[in-house]
Amino acid sequence: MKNQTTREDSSPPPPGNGRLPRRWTDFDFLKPKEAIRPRIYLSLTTFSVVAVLAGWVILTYGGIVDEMFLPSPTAMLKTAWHLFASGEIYPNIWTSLYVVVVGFVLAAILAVPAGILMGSFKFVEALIEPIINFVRYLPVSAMIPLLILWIGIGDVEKIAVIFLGTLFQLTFLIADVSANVPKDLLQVAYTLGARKRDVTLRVLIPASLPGIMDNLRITMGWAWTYLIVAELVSAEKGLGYMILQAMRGMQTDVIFVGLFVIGLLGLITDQTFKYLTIWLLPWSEKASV
Amino acid sequence: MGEKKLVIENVTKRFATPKGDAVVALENISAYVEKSEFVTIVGTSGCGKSTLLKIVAGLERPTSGRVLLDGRETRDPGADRGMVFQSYTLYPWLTVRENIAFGLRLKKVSKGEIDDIVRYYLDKVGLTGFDTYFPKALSGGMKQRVAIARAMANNPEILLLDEPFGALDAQTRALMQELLLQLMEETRMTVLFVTHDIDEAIFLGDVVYVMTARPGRIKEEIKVDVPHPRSPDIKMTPMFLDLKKKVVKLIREETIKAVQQSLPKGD
Ligand SMILES: Nc1ncnc2c1ncn2[C@@H]1O[C@H](COP(=O)(O)OP(=O)(O)OP(=O)(O)O)[C@@H](O)[C@H]1O
Ligand SMILES: [Mg+2]
Repeated sequence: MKNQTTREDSSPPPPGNGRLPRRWTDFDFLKPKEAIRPRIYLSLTTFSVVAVLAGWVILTYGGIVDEMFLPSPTAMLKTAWHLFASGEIYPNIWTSLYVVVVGFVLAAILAVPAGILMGSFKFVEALIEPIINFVRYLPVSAMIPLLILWIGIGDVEKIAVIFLGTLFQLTFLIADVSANVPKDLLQVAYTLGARKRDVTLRVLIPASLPGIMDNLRITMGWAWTYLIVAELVSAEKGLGYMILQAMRGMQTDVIFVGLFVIGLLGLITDQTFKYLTIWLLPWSEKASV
Repeated sequence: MGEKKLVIENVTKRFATPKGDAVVALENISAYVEKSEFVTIVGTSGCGKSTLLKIVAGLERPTSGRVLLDGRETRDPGADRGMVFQSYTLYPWLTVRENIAFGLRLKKVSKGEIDDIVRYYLDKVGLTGFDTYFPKALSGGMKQRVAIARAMANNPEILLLDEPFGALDAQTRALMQELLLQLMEETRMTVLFVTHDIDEAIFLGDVVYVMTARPGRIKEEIKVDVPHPRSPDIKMTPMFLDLKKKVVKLIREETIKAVQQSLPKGD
């Protein structure tokens, strides 16, 4: 029989000694879902951001692309400084933010209960599912002309665009969430003495919350898209309007500042939802930083 | 002879398939559980164990036959029949303490009393100190222990357990069996426990019902004459092994039948 030492000697040590890969050479790029060292992760992230910035710098300062099409970093910073310092951009930001938030909140107020009811009660499903499944395939951008005819081109019309654009999708997604709450979770409540009402209020709804938050977060992203489309079609204020005006004046730098601000606002709302989940639903599997 | 706490009387359950024909899950099942007795039902996978327990709990209606609790027919679910499920069913948004208190709060038990009951059962299942944990931080064995505490805290007339340790590893499973047995010896609660594990069925049961493959019927009723408290050592005694041999043989016949049923029929 072999003793311990010979056996250890005969087998080569596993690469990386079972720890996270230390060097680039023992970093297994192609192994799915394999963890990598945080430092390597951060380096890669930094690299991609720097690469984009470097590309921008080379293209503009190198004179490869006309300032008309792509403003240089300094030109853009100057424009941004001007737009913010003069206060010119704020009304546009507030208008867009206001329209998105009001339209989205109204849609959520209706879609969350409607979705829960549709996913949980067959009679509600029978009543509203066919309609929702038809309407949610109508692109809301195609309804903008109709909404302008009906409501005009004010904020209310834009709020209606956001509202209609997200309402049906959200209802459908939330119905799916509540339909997928495991039946055992409801049944165990009955064996603990719960009545139908308790099961709905104390089990079905809390069990649906993480999925609801997830879908609110996803649909909020779409709301921004709908808003900009609506503002490009017709507006007197707003970030989409600002971009359109800049196009008419050939001010590419203003367009880029507008795009950047929209991206930033989207990122902030997304992070808000993420931290809201961690704060409100600390028990959920999704509540991790 | 003790009084019959639970009686299952000629229960048959047919499910309609989408195609239109019926699946007979249970056929003419009769069984009973006496007060403070631990009865186990053992059968192969898919023989209708979960269906039977759900009928007893009132979560499913039998196609024919009935279930009597203390001589009265039960049709709807209620707190008098507590159940522990095969899957993990703790409420993730409630802490361990709140999960155990779920049924008590529905009954509007006073806060002080709830605290006492929760503390008592947390201690009984060996989870003192875990009261403020959320289920996501617990292992599978701990989750099922909380589920047992939650069902027992309601003080039901009978406790129904559907393969509660089915998803656990062999070592944890053995420990959980001992813990459950001890708990029942102490509290003298009436238990109906279903499993596919023969050792588990004999070790825990005062009476073991052996079920046939689908459609589930009662094939044999076996009395396990081992006094309480039982130690895990009884699993090595000749008597236990004889019983096990007998059940293995019965189940084996049924498993072969079940496999043959599932094979395509030649003509
Ligand atoms: N709602 C249902 N509709 C149709 N068939 C069902 C339904 N529930 C159970 N069945 C069928 O009844 C039979 C018994 O199912 P059941 O879940 O009771 O078995 P089981 O003994 O608990 O199995 P396992 O060991 O896998 O838990 C199975 O063939 C199953 O397909
Ligand atoms: Mg089962």
